[in-house]
Amino acid sequence: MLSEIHMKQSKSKPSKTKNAKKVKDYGNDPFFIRKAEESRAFLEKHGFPKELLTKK
Amino acid sequence: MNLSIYKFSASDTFLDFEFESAGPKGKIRKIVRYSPQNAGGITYFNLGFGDLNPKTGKIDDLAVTNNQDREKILATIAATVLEFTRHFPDVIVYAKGSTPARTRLYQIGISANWSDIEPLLHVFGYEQNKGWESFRKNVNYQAFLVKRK
Repeated sequence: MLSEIHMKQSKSKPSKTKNAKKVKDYGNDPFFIRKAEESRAFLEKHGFPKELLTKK
Repeated sequence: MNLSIYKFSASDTFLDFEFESAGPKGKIRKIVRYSPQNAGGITYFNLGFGDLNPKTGKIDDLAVTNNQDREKILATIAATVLEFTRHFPDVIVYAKGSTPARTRLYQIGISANWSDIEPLLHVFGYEQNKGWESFRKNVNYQAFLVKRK
C-alpha cells in the first residue's frame, strides 16, 4: 500500500534517529491493522478539519 | 524536547519506531507504528502504540505495564511524531488511544510538550458534539490530527 502513496520525503538534514538496530515492519500486526481500520471509521464519520486540509 | 526521552530506533521505511521503557517492572519494548490509511479520499497515517509481547512477537494493545515512566514515554512518542513528520512533512497523522484514558494521556503528552510541538505542528482535537478545533490545553478530546507547519 505504501508504494501507492506518493509521499514527499524530506531530503533535509540526516536523521538523528538510530536505525542501526533493525526495527521490523509491524504493518501486518493485527493490533495496528485494527487501529488503522478504527481510525478510518472515525474519520469517515467525522471528517477532517477544513483548516488542516488547506494548510501547506 | 523539554522532558527526557528514550532513545528510539526506526525501520528503514520510518513507519515503525521502537524504544525500551526501563523501570521497576524491568525493560519493556514499545512500538510506535504509523499505518497508511485513507478516509474519504484523504491519505493519512494512524499512530498506533503498544507493548511488544516478547513471547508472541505481537503487540499487546491493552497491556498495563506501570513502569513509572509515563511522561518519558509520552515525550518519546511525541519525538517519534516529530521525526516521522520530518521525514514526511506533507502527511497528516491521526492519533487516538485504545481507551478514553489513553486518549487523555495523549492530550497530557501534547500539553506537556506544547512548547516543542506548537512551533512545528498544526494540532487539532476532536471534541464530542463540537467537532474539530485547534488544540487547546485542558480540553478533553476524542482524537487528534497533526500536520507539519
